[in-house]
Amino acid sequence: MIEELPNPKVNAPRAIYLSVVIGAVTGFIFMVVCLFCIQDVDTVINTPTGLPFMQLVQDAVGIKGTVVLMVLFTMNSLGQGISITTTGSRLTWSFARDNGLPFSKYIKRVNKKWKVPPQALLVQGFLITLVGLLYLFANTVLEAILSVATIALTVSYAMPILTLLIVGRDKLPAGGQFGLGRYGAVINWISVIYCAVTTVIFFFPGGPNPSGADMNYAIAVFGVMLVVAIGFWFIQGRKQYLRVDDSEQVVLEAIHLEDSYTEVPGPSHGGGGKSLK
Amino acid sequence: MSGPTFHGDGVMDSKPIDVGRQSYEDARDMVALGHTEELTRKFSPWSMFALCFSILGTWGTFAQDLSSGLTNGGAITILWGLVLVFICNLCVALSLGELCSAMPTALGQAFWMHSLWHTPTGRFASYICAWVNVFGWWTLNASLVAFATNFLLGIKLMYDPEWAGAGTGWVEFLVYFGIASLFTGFNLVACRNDKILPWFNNIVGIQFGALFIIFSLVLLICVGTKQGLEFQPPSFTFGAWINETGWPSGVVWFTGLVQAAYGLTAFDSVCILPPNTQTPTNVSPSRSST
Repeated sequence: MIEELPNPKVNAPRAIYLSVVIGAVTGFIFMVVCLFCIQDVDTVINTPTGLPFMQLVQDAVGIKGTVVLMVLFTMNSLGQGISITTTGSRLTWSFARDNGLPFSKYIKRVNKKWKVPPQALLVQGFLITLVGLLYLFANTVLEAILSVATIALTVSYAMPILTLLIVGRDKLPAGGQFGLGRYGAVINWISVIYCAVTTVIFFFPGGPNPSGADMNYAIAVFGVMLVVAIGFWFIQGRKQYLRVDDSEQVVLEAIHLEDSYTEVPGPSHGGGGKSLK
Repeated sequence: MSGPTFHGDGVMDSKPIDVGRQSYEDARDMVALGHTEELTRKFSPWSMFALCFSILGTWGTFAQDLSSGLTNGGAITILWGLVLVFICNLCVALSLGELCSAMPTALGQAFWMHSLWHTPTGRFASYICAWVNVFGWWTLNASLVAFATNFLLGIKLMYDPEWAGAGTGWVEFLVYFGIASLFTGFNLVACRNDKILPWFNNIVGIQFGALFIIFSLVLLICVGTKQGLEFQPPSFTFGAWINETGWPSGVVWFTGLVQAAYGLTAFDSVCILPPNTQTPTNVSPSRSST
């Protein structure tokens, strides 16, 4: 990316907010179309397939057209799934590289020939398959685990933003090329409040006074996650996590120096080069 | 990975001396990774956007999750809730973008926390954040596999509504397992050639955009032209309030936001990917300038 992306410090933030903007606009238009085209709300909600969207399309298009559309839709979902697996495995791998996961030394290996972290991929695939085993005996737990995804991601967004607000926005390292300027604090606060409110709502059950089967067990799953995380902190994280930071820095700076003398092209090196001159 | 530099001397080395050596080796590993990770350097701004757009998968997620919106408030929460969620999520996206631009380094959110809050408590908080984030991506991955499973079985059910197989756990698990294996297997081999993954993302992104247009047009044309089908009045599309949950209306307004929020999370994929796309030297400029 350094070589091919003119400026990652600009382009990464741009990719993030553009995808949110375009996602929301297309989502809004699509929902308007669906709401115009819905034929009978009750049939759609109580469809025998269990998939209201499929019923909605079937009512409008007929069964043959729907199958074609749904096959295309599902193929596309498979493509998205592959991208999510890529991202997830890289995150798993980078957490292992910082010695955060059990068996980190094993998980962080990269296969040079295939240019992937195979262990990170396989560990992740194995854990996902374990979740799938719940189909056999505990659908409620399965649903809770699946619904925790958005909650966990939302919490992981709020944490660094809140940290930034607590330590002070002036502590933000220099060098970023996408600053929010004087609106930064407001935008950060809106983000934190929004994440806090939605996280609470995500834990709500589908209706008041739910029965055992209708309860939203996401809160329990999230609790188990936290227990696992805190447990591993005491087992190994406290000693090893990110411990390599400072001396690694020395090595990195040495390499960086070498690079800037040999004038390796790339914007990030340019940034470092300036501070050396 | 690189044989001789990879922690040759036992797993649990004793503390003080080996910490230094290990750091050195880890750093060398990172450098090595900087080279091995050249695959992701082929990501152009466009394919990064394609990746982020298709992982967000907003309109597709809304479609999959339609029942939640329809029962929790109907059109009012689906559309106007989305506007509210969009504004808030844009703030989150901008905040993360700012952090990502200032610290485009490994581990995304957790690393930012560690850099900003350089105390033992901060390290603990960063560790928890990393776990929460990793769990989030694992479960997101699992939920996409489950969605695909449901849709594949749903297609079969459309033709054969009486088929009992879709409800049996082992059929669901088999399909689920097949899809999970496909995702993992494809990723294991896809990086052999640097061009495969970015191109794949481009295709998925374009396909996702094209399907949006196709679905919208097909739905509108079919309802507009077919006998016996009618459009809903605008008063329904933009103003219907449906509450089938039992919660009071105030609560339903909030629970209805969940659908919109589902469709607009997971934009941190870009924050997570740049670490791999950049050589570790990127750590230096920000620190050495202080």
